[in-house]
Amino acid sequence: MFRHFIINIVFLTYACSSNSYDLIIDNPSDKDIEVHLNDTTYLVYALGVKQIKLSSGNYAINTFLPNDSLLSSEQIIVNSDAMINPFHSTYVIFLDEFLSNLGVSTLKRQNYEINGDLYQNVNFETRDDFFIPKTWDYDVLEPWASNEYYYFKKNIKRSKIYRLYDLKREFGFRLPDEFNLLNVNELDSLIYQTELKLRRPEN
Amino acid sequence: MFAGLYFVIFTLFFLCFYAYTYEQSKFLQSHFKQINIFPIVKDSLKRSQARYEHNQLINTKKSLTDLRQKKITSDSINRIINYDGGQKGLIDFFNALYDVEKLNKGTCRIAYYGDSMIEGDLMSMTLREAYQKQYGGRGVGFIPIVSLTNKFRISVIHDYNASWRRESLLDISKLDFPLGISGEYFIAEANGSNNTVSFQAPNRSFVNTFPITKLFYGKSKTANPSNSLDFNGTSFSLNGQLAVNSLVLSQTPLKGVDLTFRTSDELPIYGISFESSSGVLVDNFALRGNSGIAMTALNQNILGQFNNDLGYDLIVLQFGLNVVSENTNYDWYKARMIRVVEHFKHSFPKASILLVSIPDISKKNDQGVMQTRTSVSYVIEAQKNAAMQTEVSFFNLYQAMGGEGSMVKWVEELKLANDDYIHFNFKGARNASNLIFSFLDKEYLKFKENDE
Repeated sequence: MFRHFIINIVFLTYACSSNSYDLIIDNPSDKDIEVHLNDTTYLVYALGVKQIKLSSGNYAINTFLPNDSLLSSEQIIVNSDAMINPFHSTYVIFLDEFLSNLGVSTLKRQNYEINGDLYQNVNFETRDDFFIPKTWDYDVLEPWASNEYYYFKKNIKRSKIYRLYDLKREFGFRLPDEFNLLNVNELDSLIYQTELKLRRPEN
Repeated sequence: MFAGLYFVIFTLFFLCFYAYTYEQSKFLQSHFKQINIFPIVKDSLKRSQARYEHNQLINTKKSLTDLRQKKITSDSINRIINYDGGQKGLIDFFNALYDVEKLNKGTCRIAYYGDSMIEGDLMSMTLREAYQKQYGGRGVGFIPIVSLTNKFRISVIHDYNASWRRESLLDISKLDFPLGISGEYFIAEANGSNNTVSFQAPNRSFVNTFPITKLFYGKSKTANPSNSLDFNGTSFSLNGQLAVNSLVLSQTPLKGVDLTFRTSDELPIYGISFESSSGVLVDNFALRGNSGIAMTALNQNILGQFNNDLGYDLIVLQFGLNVVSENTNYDWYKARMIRVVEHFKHSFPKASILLVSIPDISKKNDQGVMQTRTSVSYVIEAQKNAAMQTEVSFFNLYQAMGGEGSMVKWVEELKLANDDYIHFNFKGARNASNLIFSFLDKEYLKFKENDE
């Protein structure tokens, strides 16, 4: 029986150590793009992502804009989960922590300035390479979980990768596009509501 | 039996080990499911966003304020670039302001013309304070001898006796003399001994003294008049032979002045100017009931002579309240305002011109609900088109207030306007004027960035 148990463990370990990796091709632009990966073509919709699985190895990736103009042509070595960044856009990996009531913060925070915007007391890492090995928990379109549950932990660090304009929006440096349709009166109301929130003791 | 027991113990031990290791291992978390084996409640770990929320709110407020400012000015035009070499939007004004600010050279003077919306120095008072605070300058500027709103005005304490006769461009059939820069002239009673006027500087920043005092008067019709002025006990002759005569009465700062005019014949007196020799000066020229179209009655030669002395760099024209009706066709108003703007362009060739639109104006509809009057948008369109056609700058005050329905909000919610749903109160005039200053100053900053 013990032998069966060991065989199962070995099998599971083998199964889990398969050399297949999850890749995300991100398209932060407002235009659809075509990604040619070796002999396969993927369409990535505007502001969307495409999830693919690849086994480890070398790949040639060509990315085309809708008018068939070549956006990028790169060789990559796949050896981990990763995100493909065809536009060489700036992404920010935002490391944050989840704490229980008894948890003590251990995250190192500092101020970061990105494109003239000052982000205060945060832990950021910026990336703009074509192939970004995955070191985060939440992908670009995945929201943060509000809570996580553990038996033995009071403090856990989690990270999320952001497109820069999503980060700007989350930190108030950029307003949602639909705000451009508001008139001055409606904006006055929003400014007033924001002011009220700022006056709350917790802020 | 013992083998079975060992197996159960081993399995339990393994599951506990797995449950513990799972929480420590990212690999297990991403590839396997968690098992809940311990008979205790898990701790809930929460992401604390409070740390960022304050900054997020501050940034959001700033972004909203910036967007609001952009909205306000998006419909206003500063025509700096003009390819035919004529008037160049606000560039003459900005050049003069730049000389004042950077080179400490001379004055930059603004003539603020308007209807009842600006009477009592409303609007212009705040603009003056804002400019003098930022770019220097002292004094309340040009004041007519007689004012219908002297008791209401707080930027100068003004009193006069009843012997004065006032004529204005609103009734040109009565005119015996050319109108002055304010669209008025004032006649002292001939051979009268009681033609007095007094001014006191109020206890307000920038206008609390009269740095230099100048009188502007016209020419008598008789060949050898005997006109004089008693100014704070000193006598001055008023026998100038020009159509517009200026007389410096004092070059030392004064807190108050008393003037008594003695005239042998009718003599048009235009007004008095309290001004500094440097910085920004703003003159308020309000004429209640003036739609603006009558401004062409001002003689260009006379305006030019005033301009030789006063040196205007910006002419603000804020009219239109008196043409708001139930009509929707204001092509005639556009055509007349084009003539007015051209008239001022010729009279003040080195000054920029800014046309300020009417504000929002509301009226009860058939259901008894206050709402923006239909013709407001048509009047504004006519004003904007007049500005575009004459290539001068335009400020959309209506839009800056918040657009449709904003007057109701300004009256009922913000308490910035009177119950007539037309006129601002003091606080509202200050707010509205700050919007204009904000637009002008933002454009000036752009001008400096381009220049530097």
